[in-house]
Amino acid sequence: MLTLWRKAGYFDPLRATPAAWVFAIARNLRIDGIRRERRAQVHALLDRVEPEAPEQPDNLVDIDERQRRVAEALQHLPPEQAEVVRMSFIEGKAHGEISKCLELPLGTVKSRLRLAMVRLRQALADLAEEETP
Amino acid sequence: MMPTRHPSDLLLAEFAAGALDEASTLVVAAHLALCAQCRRAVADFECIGGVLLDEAGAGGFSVAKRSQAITAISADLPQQPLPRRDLSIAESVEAMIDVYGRGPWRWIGPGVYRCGINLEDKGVRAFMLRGAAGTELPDHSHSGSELTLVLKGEFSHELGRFGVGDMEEADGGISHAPRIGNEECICLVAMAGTIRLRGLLGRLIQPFVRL
Repeated sequence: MLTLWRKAGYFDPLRATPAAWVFAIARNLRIDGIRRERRAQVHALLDRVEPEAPEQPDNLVDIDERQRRVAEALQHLPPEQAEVVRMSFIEGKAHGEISKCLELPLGTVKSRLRLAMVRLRQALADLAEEETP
Repeated sequence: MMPTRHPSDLLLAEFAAGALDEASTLVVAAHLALCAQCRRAVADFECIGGVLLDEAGAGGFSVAKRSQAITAISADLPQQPLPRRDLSIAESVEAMIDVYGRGPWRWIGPGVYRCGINLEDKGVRAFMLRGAAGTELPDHSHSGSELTLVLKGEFSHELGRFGVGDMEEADGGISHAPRIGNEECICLVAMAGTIRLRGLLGRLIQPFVRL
């Protein structure tokens, strides 16, 4: 299994922060570990797609900045939003499972996650604009 | 050509988290192969995952998984500075479907063929649907959610036109009667629950339609 990810887990500094890359590999390992599932292979194939246009290298200088902004935005999330974000990203729970665990309606889980994602992406939004050619 | 209809941020975040079922993972990944804009969104969400992972430390992923990942990464860094981008978009979508393998194309109605994808998780089904030019599919509703990605051609219904790379994210309960455009259309579909045909004709043929 590990050899598979040695091959699949290329690091592309134009695309990902090192932490995001570690996360992606750890996520794929976790999916691999759950069942004899092949979802992780589908995720890994995406890293091999040739982009239509070369990606912008501006990303590179912003890595620390991206990391810092996301960390800051996460700290400022209301606790109930931070909780569902952690359950989704770290525990890998589907929205339905989160709703069962927390005994909350699915709609509530989804709206908390949606609000959190809007905030987190806003924190990165002006960086993304600078990157667009 | 850039797709104009995209998955919601919520769906992309669930994909990035690795929390989507097999069928939806496949359809979202195929859209990502076709859509630079959504790949960027997923990269942002993975960045969120990265920060959370840093914070969670050993309390998040198991210590073994974490150290495995780090060993794999540090072993690779010197040799693999850049990814090998060796797949065209078409090849990558093909390869994603081939991860699971697929059945034969089967006739399911006038001008419409279906090809099942052999997932291990049977909860949400994935299949390809091929419709001949000009075909009108019967008005139907869904008991569960449905993701539809256009791989070839186009279709349209009450909610608009969907061309190559476009994805329709339909919640359970939505009813539509898609019409195929002027060339053959092939879609990749993830479907939870079942479809219900509407109208008299629909009710008459319902027992014969198996999607």
